[in-house]
Amino acid sequence: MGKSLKSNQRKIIVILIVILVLLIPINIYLYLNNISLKKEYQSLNKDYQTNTKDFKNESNKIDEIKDKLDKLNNLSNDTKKIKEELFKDIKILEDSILNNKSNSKIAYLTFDDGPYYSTYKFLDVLDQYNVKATFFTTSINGTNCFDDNTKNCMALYKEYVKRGHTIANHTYTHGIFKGLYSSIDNFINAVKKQEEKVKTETDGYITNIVRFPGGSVTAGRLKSGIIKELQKLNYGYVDWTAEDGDGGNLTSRTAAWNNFTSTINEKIEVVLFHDFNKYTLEILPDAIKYLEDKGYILLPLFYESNMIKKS
Amino acid sequence: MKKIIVIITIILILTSTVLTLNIVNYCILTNNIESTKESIKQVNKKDTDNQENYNKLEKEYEDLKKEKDNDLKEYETWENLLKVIKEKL
Repeated sequence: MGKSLKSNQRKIIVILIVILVLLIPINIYLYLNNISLKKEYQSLNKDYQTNTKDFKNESNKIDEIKDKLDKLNNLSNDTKKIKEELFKDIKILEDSILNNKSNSKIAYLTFDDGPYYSTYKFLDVLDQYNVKATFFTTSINGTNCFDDNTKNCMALYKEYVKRGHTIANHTYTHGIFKGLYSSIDNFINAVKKQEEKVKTETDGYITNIVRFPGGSVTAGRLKSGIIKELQKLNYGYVDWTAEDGDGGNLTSRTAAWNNFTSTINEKIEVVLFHDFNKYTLEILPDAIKYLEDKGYILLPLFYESNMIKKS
Repeated sequence: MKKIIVIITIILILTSTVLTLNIVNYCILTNNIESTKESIKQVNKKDTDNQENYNKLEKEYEDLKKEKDNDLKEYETWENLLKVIKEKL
């Protein structure tokens, strides 16, 4: 009985040891395998993190380019907004200058009687110096260029707008000696007709600044009546404070330069030029540099400016 | 003899527990590896789609930039003028 029990216990011990001997290598194998799997997992996880980071970078780049695309698509609206803000600020600056609270200076370059075929050359100079100006337009020669009857000048209206200049009204006929100032109605009709011309040629640009051909003094006794009528049409008017004399009999570049520099005295200047005159074209780059060296900021005219008289 | 049986049984139980833990760990690791591989595949696919999308958008941007080159210059001119005026105020 005792021997049989001992024999059974030995058998159990042997079985247990056999099981143990089998289990231990399996355990070792699994343990080692798990270490290897863990390494593989860590490596994959690292790849995943790197790929996710790349993906996020790529997504950020897409967001950036989408923003840039939106900006390009909204460019005309943004330009409009920035111009509105700019004109408000210029008005504030003008007020400060006129109240002697600012030493800043402003010059408004203006070109009368165009569009001429030579206007393209003037526009290129202005572009070269990043200057925005104001063009007082007439339709004195119909659709043809006044300085070259073989050329049609109507494309210039869109060019003014495209290049960011102000288009202003110099009456349709410019007929100082052909009845423009014979009555208030004649003058106002010539303004309205030119406004319509600009509107048609530019697909909707509305002029609201007038320069009287010959200057407001030329209107004589009709001046106050005309101004009242212009007010009703939401127009302001402007003369000039400086010029190179190219509207008269200008004989040389030196004369143009001397006329121009001798008339630059004010803190806010409205400079009168004509965009057909070869001497004006010659002095224009130097005139721009001269004004900039003297601290003038060169700007296009706008209705709210103090230089645009409303009464 | 009984003591030996008890000791061996305890060792066996411990070994079995370790084995169970190893098996569980193996299953978890295998599962994690599979899911990470799947995630990498998906991220790579999204990345490829993104890259294609980016290239398409970049081309669209470059074309539009060329088309609106003048408008862009205009905008920058006005923006610079605004900066100049703001400095003077």
